[in-house]
Amino acid sequence: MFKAVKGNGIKKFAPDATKRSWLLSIFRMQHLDYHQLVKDCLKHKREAQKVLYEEFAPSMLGVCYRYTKSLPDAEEVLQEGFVKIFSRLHQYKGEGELGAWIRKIMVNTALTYLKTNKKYRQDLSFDDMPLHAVSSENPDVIIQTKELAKLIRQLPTGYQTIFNLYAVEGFSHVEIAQLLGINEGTSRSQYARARSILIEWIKKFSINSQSGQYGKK
Amino acid sequence: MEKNNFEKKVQQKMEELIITPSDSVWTNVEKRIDNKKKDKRLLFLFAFLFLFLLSGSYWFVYQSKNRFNKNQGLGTVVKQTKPGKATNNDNSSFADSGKTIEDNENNAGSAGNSKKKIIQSGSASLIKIEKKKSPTVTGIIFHNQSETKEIISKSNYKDDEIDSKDTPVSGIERNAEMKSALITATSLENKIDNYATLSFMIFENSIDPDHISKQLLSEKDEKRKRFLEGIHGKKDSVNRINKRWDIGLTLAGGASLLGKGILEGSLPVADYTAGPLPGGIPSVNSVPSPIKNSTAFIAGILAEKKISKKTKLDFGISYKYYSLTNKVGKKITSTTSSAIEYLSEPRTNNALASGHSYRNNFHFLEVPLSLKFQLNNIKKVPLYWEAGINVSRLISSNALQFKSNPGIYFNDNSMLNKTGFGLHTGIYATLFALQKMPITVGPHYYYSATTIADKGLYSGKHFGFLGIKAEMLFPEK
Repeated sequence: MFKAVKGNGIKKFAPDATKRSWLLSIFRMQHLDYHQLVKDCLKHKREAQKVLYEEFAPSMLGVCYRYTKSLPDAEEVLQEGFVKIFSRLHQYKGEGELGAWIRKIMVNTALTYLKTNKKYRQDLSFDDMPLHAVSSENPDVIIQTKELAKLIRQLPTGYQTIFNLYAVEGFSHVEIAQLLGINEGTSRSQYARARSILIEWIKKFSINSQSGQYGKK
Repeated sequence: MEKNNFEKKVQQKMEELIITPSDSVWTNVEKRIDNKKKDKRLLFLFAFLFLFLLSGSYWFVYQSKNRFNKNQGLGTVVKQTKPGKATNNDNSSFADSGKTIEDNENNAGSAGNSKKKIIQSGSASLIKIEKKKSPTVTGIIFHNQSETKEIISKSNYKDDEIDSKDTPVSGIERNAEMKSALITATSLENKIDNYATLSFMIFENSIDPDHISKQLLSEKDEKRKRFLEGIHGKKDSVNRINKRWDIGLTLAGGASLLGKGILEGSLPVADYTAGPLPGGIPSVNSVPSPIKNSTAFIAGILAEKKISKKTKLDFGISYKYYSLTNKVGKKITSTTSSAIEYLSEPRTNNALASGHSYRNNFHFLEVPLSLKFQLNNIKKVPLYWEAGINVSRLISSNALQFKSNPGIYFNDNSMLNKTGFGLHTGIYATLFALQKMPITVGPHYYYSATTIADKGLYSGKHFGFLGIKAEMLFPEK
């Protein structure tokens, strides 16, 4: 149950986690005074910190999920990310959306995790490969969100990372090259390859789901 | 562009990806941000304590710096702190033995521009310079350490008595600005002249010299003579700084180490065998019990001399006590011999045999010689690295040797090396460096280059010492 308060001020409520839905969270985001919330978090008010966490954790877990291969790994990244967010919250000066600032930290945390975790580090190879042209295909993405996420996660880690950074986060190849320490050409090639693989999988998935043969992986 | 449609669709889909995290995620986040908060608090606390100690030490040292050293107190230079011409033309008058200058007016600087009045007494000289368009400067030069302290302390506690004409510092206003410049004798090593400044105090526009001179002029001539002697002998006394030895005490406590190498655990080598004891005590081949490190201390006298700006030479004589322990069995009492003998500890299947602990004491007299190098440039707490050599002589010992057949311990100091050479080093900080009795303290390590013995239980073993050493100096008056 919660109270919607128009105007300024933090909305106080006792949320029921089981009944929370993404629609509710969007509604709350629209009504929450982030400025005051950040202020209260900086004063180490636990209630405010929890509100901030509950506001952004579900969507950020989705971000982390896309970069990792399992939900526990994604939660680990989420945890690390929020610790960083709370410790660096004083750096948020109100320029830009709070959500965008949090997301940026979460993506960086995910990349750090991939680079430092043994499981992913070995697979995070960006070999120079022949330039692969981006396919001109633009198929309809008639696939559910979670299934699409799963397909993306099935890509090799390197492809998965570059695809997420370019297609979802909107980084340019120059920026991706700087983030990952690779050549711009490598980023382009790897993305092109990832894109074509994903399109192929989406097509197969669509065909399978249309024919009623839904195959879960 | 068409090719971006796919990316846009993927982006839209991914933005809808919402996954509820498990409760443990928030619990862990909570714990970690709490720990960070605690760490920050601890950090602030440590930083605060450090700053507090630092400022406290600075205040303490600064306060002590404001007190005169007993070596100071002789000298007569007036320094004008405001713009104007300060002259020392009258300094020659103080060197004139036996002459009392009651009043002296002089024109200094531009003609008719200033007036100087000097009043000299047995315990102090008072100089007042009056210049047109400049603040009057009055200087009091103190000849004697204790009087200086008295006058300063009185001037620091201003109350109604201050206005009384009977007190030496009468006339000082409550809000008078007092500037004191204290230059220690040691800092003048490079600036030696006949009238080197040693101590003076200046009161600006705030003192009536006549009031002060009342007290000062009542002093006896003996003090004035002392003052004049001090002026003449000043150069020598300042020059003596470089040649003097400071005497002090040294004390160190720590652990005595035993080993083949520099720092090694101790396990002795079994000794030579011997035949059966007279009296029919059966011979049994056995091994000695392990020897363990124990306490040690050093106490002595040292002499220290500054040989350069950052180097000191130390020389001294010390008593050194080392001890090592091992386990022995029953004491052997003999009616024919007074030698100390013990059975080796009984051997059982249990590793913790039921012997008793025996303390092997070694008493040395040693002569250390070392150099101390100052590592930092902080005058208040200088840090030194010391390196040196020791020559030591074993005075006495009750250390036990061992015969494996039969297994007995016995005392035989002829097996020990009487004279030894060693090396020592340490890093020390000098506390209260600017005060009367500086204390130097820090970790000290000693290693005996010569072995304890060439045969026996301590054959091939070297003594070592690791502990804390403190030195207290009594500088020359």
